[in-house]
Amino acid sequence: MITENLIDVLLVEDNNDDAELTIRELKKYHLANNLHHVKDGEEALKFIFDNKDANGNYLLKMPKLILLDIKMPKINGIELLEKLKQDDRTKLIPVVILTSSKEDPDIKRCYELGANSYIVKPVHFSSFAESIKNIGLYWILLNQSPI
Amino acid sequence: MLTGFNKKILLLFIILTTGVILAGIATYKTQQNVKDTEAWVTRTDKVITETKEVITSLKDIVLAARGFVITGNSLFIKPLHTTKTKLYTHLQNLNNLTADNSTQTAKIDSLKKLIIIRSNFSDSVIQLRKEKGFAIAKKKFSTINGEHYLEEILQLHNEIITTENDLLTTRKLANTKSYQYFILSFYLLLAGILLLLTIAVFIVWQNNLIRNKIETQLMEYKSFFNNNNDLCIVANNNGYFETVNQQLETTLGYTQKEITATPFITFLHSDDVAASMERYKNYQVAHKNKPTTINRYRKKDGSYVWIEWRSIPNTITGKIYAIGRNITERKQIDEILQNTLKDLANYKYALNESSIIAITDANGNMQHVNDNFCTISKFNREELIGQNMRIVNSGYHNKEFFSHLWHTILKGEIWKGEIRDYTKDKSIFWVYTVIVPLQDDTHTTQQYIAIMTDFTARKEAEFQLDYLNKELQSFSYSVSHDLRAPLRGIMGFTSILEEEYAAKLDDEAKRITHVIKNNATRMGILIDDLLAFSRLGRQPVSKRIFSTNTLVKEIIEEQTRENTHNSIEWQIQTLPPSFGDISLMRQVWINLISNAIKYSGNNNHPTIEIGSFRQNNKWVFFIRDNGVGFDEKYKEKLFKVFQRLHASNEFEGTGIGLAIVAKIITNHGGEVWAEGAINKGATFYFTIPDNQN
Repeated sequence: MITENLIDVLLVEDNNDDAELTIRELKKYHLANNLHHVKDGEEALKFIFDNKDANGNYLLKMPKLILLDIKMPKINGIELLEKLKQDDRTKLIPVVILTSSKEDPDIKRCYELGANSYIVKPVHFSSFAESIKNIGLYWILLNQSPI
Repeated sequence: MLTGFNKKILLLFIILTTGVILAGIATYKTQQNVKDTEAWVTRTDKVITETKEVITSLKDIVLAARGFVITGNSLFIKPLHTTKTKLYTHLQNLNNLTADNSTQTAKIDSLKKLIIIRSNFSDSVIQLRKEKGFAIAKKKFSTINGEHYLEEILQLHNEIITTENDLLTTRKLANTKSYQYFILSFYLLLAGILLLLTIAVFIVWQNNLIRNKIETQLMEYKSFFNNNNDLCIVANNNGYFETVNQQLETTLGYTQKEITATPFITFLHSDDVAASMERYKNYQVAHKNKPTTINRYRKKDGSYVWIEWRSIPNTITGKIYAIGRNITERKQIDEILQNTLKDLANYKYALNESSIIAITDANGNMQHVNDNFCTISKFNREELIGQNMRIVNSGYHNKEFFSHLWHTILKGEIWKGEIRDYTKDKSIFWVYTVIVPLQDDTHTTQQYIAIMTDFTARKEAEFQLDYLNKELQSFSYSVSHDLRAPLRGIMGFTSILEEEYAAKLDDEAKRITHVIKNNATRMGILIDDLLAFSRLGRQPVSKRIFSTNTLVKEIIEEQTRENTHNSIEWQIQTLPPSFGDISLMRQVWINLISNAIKYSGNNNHPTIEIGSFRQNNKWVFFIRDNGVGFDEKYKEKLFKVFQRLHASNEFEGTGIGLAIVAKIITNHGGEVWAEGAINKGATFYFTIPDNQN
């Protein structure tokens, strides 16, 4: 279902339950068709940067949106965000932070690092739509037929 | 008292007076002598005269007899009787005059006999003439008998005269001599008197000179006494001041009369009476032991002056001459000095007790260390004195730390900081250190004093606290993330159950899923509030002035937009600006206003009043509602975490809102309190300090 070259959304989330709930919610509105789920920052970096085509050339997989959990093992959300925003190739990808609480002090840190928005888990479509609106990615929604 | 000079004068006087008296006596005596010799001369003259008279009278008788004989005329013999009487009188006189001269007396007796014989011869001749006539008488007359007697008489007469003339010469010589003596003694007397007078005049003149000199001196002394800036007195032995000078009058405010009329004890301060009187009574001894004394005299206005007396006794009269000086000011300065010294000693004592002290020379070599320093460093004093302060250096601080320290104190400024030092056995101690450079008059640092406070325990606690804080932070993090994750699972999957398996659930199952979700939501809120509360303590407060009016208006708009309750009547006064952390103060107002809305919700006509008033130089803000209120006896619990005065099914809430309010206000240095009664509404008050405070 997920085609390698057509990644719209990259979900970085270590908690399987949270991931399932998020994907379910997005699916309801057919927003998860081109979604890829990785378990931590390390996997995310591998997914984005460490790809080769048939000829052995490196191939970037550039998602149109990254949904990023903050607290993860190995490379956490903040560290990943820092790396993405430092790299010219990825620094323009919009990042929406998934957080447990809107009181989380890490949100401030993420905004400083260049995060575009945040959504409090569990993810509801309404709050997701709000975030999308905030970062102006109408086209993601427009590309997806709600039917 | 006689001086040597006076003694000599007196002796001279006595000698002179004696001389004068003697001269007087001599004069008197010589004068008597002159008189006597003169008397003798006179008598001798008389004897001669009388003798001549006798001869004259005799010759008269002889002539009368001859005349009668020749003439027979009785006229010749008529004065005979008178002449005879005269003769005898002169004879008698002669006898009297020569009674003391036996030779002359004998001669005069002989003369007398011869004269009587001759006189009787003349009488017999006269008788013959009368009776027998001229011839017979002539015959008789012609005998030489008569002439013989006369011859003898004249002879005798001449002898007497010669003797008397000799006597006269002798006596006149004696008289002249005694007169000369008289003159001599008289001149002596005069000279003596003159000398005496001269001396007397000289003495009077001298005395006058001395007197004038003494009077001048006396005037000087008097003026010295009276115009002296010190207090001069003469005290007698009856306990009175006899004489006092003007300065004492001025100092005490009494007149001389008032002072001398009262025993001086009455002016003494009651505390000084015993000592002063003791001294006065045993003055001679006391004076020798200590020539000065200090006591207090009462002035007319009732206040006291301190006087330092310096006195000398007069050994003859027993009076005391004293000079006093008003030392009240000095005494006051003394007192201040004493108090200051005492304070200093106390401070020193307290400092020694409370602090660790080391005094070093300009190079940091220790000159003095107190017991506390020895105790904490575990060195004994002998091991420390003369050593550099480096002896306790633990090597913990870097080079810059100490160069900054030296840089500061070399400029003469005070350095303050925390230093980690080593004890003798290389265990660590921390001292909060204040190093004060002690400079001399030329602003050259001679010494440094290091005042240290041991805070090793606190430092350890700080490390502990830091560790705990970090632990708490990670705990909070866990709470916010990990605790919430299972909650999300519960929520999310319950929602899936509701939404995707709705057809398979009966009504009771749906109610249960609803309860599950409610509880999970409540727990989420609880976690959020708790996190917010715990974060408050760590969050720095950044204060600025902001408009309370604007803030309150914004919050009311936000709150009423979400609010579905009855329409509320708002009574909002104009509020003064606040000085605080706006985001924290926003939380305060949100919590108080939302509480007011929430708890007045049951009232049909909810009214909320917001205002302020001035109290104890601070603005007090208040928010009052007419809601359910609370029981005053539980008001202490209002501001505590998780303390609720209403059941959660009555009013929503976690019991953290007011605890957050209290914490923020306390962090701002303000106060918060509440008034209320059940079903009579509640009023919450708080103050935060002004900008100036």
